[in-house]
Amino acid sequence: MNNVMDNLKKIAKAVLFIALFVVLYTGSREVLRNKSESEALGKIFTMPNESYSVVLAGPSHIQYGVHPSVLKSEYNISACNTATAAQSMPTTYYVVKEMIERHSPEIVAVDLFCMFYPEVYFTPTRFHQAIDNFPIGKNKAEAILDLAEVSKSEFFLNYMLYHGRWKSLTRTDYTVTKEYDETSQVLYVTTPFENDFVPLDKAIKNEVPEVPLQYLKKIVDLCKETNTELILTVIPYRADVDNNDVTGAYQQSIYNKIEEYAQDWGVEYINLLYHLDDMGFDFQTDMAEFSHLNESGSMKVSKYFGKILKDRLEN
Amino acid sequence: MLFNSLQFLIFFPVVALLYYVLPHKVRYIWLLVASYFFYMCWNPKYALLMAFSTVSTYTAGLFISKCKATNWKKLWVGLSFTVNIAILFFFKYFDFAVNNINACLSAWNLELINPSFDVILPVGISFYTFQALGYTVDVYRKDIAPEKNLLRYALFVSFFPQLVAGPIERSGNLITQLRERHYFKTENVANGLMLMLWGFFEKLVIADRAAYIVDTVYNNYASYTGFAILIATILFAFQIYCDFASYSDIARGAALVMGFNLMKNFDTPYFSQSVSEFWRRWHISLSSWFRDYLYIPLGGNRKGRVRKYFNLMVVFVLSGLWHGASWTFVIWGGLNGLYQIIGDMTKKLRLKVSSAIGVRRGNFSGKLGKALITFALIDFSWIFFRANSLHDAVRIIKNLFCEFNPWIFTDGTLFTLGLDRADMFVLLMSLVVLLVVSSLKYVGINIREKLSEQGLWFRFAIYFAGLFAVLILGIYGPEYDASQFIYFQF
Repeated sequence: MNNVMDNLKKIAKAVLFIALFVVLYTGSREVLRNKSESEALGKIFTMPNESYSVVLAGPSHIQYGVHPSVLKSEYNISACNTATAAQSMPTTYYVVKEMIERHSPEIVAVDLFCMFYPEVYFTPTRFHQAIDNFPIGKNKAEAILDLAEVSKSEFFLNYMLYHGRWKSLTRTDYTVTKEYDETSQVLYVTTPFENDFVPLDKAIKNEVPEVPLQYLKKIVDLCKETNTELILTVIPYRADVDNNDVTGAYQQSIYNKIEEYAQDWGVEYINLLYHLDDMGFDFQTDMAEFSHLNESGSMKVSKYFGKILKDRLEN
Repeated sequence: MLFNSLQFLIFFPVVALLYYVLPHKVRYIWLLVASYFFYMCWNPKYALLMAFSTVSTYTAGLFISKCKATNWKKLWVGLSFTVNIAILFFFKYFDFAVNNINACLSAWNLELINPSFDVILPVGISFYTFQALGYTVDVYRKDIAPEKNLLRYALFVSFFPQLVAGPIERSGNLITQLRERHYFKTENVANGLMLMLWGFFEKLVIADRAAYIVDTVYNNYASYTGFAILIATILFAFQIYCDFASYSDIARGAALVMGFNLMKNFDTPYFSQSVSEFWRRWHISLSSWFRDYLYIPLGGNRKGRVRKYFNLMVVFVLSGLWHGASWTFVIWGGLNGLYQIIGDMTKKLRLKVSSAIGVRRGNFSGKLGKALITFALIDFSWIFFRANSLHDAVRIIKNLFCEFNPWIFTDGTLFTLGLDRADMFVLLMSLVVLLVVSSLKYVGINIREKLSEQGLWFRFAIYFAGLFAVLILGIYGPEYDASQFIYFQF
């Protein structure tokens, strides 16, 4: 009898120890976690299921380009923006997959800016910004196993990466926020450019790199399987400027090729670089820098794109 | 597979759990499989070398026990040593030997040797070779009956907790335990895990943090002088201690979780009052191996003073060579031998002088003084151990004495040596913790035993403090160059 009691006590202590460890581990992980602008993605994943009818996905272009709050206030569309900085198409595929399973949106809009990049992600940091916010589950595991090129363990256990932040913690690291602040997705600076941008001739096309094309096709297939409408889009930027040794002209030629694919796949393709006049877009006032929209530009694009989304939702 | 890797954190619980779940009869086979898997994670091919070493020493053990004539026994011991040392020599010292031969040949303008193969040192070869050879001698001396079960003997040679960096176990201790039945005991598990946690603290919080300064200064010694070199050299003493002791502690802890008691490898060495005492407290399993299997057979101190000094020098020069195929290690070993010879020669004189000037050697200050002098001597020898070459070592010593620059403590230079203020603070605090723990050990307090007598909340507080100190303050993760344990290279 005493033996049984002793053993029960030992088991109870072990359970208590493990429970306390889990609490402390989770708490300290939350404090140490890198809070970046991609924080929004984590908050979106924690929203109740089926909260959104529109999911916006892709890199920072759409992150700073289309605001769910504008879509809500102007068109009463419940949307979320899952974009993170330099989110590669393979990463976007898993984001879209998670969002479709979680929220069953009617429309998914994917920005095509990263289609020129031939690798699975730009840098491990960029992959972290997206994947670290994923809830623990099948899609996260699949994404890491599929895409992580460096040590996969650092993506499964964020602690390995973020524990070193102990010496740069600030008050905000200890603050628990449930809602994300959409204003953090707005750029309030302006870099004026001449209004001399002319989109590339649509006849000029280049082959799309294999890896992003493969994952874009997976998104197309996934949307078809789940009866989700897919819109492929390009948010305006100075696509005549070279970026990271890649010419803007090359990027535009890729978009032109994707338009051809989109027709074959039966997917809607809206390159907003060809809608600048309709939006009343002004490069003098609407760019934060050559690549991202500022507050003024993003309002114009949000309203214009929101109208398109509204039409699609109603039809 | 490194102890401080995610793989090990998965591997070890699985091995330990299955060890207790499996029937006793097959447990050693499970441990053998796990040990070979552990070793093969580095390079599967080198497991063949370990297997060869195992079979050769096992066979020698059997023949030694069966032969009646001493000469035949000696022959088998000699054969076992020759074969295994030859393998060790080839993999560890071949390049060193060729380089030195070439240096001599070039001095005489002769054609140089240019071997067509590149030799890579198999991890842990020095450790398991010495352990296996120790067994051969133990059987020869009839200290232990030969192990007839080849698989159990193979486990003795390859037991994964201590396989690649010791402690170099004695057959009398480990083989006996491999034959015993181990029951699950929560005390063993708790004590073992605590020992492992302490090991991780030493390695990840202290050793790898100190390494930043040591590497910065030693790899760019031309840019540093005076106190910068002194700080790096003192920190290297703690780095190598924490690095090596941590491996031993994790090894002992992991073994204890499964019910095995491995020998203590370190016993507060930096509190030693003399260099010879230091060597009784530092890497005890290797020091005692050299004492039992080399120093004593050479005659020890039984054949007169000159022979004793000769034996000491042989042991320490070979101990230096055991650590690495480089003249820096030979000098390091030789220096430690020389310290002891000079210490022995001047012992009477030192006693006379100190009593003449009224120095009390038995009080705290006297002991502290001796410990500091011993530390200074040992730390000086570490310069040769850490320097990348003999030339570097000499330049580092020159730079150490060429400038008196105490301003580095106040003008911010201190924080440009590889660690910022926050990390420097953590390093200092960790060293204070190390000092407190070592002091308690030194005065004979068993910390784990004392801790187990405390209330649950207090124990948990200590456990979690240790655990999260390692998790948060430890140097690991993607930016961390999975810096291996220093002693792996030996």
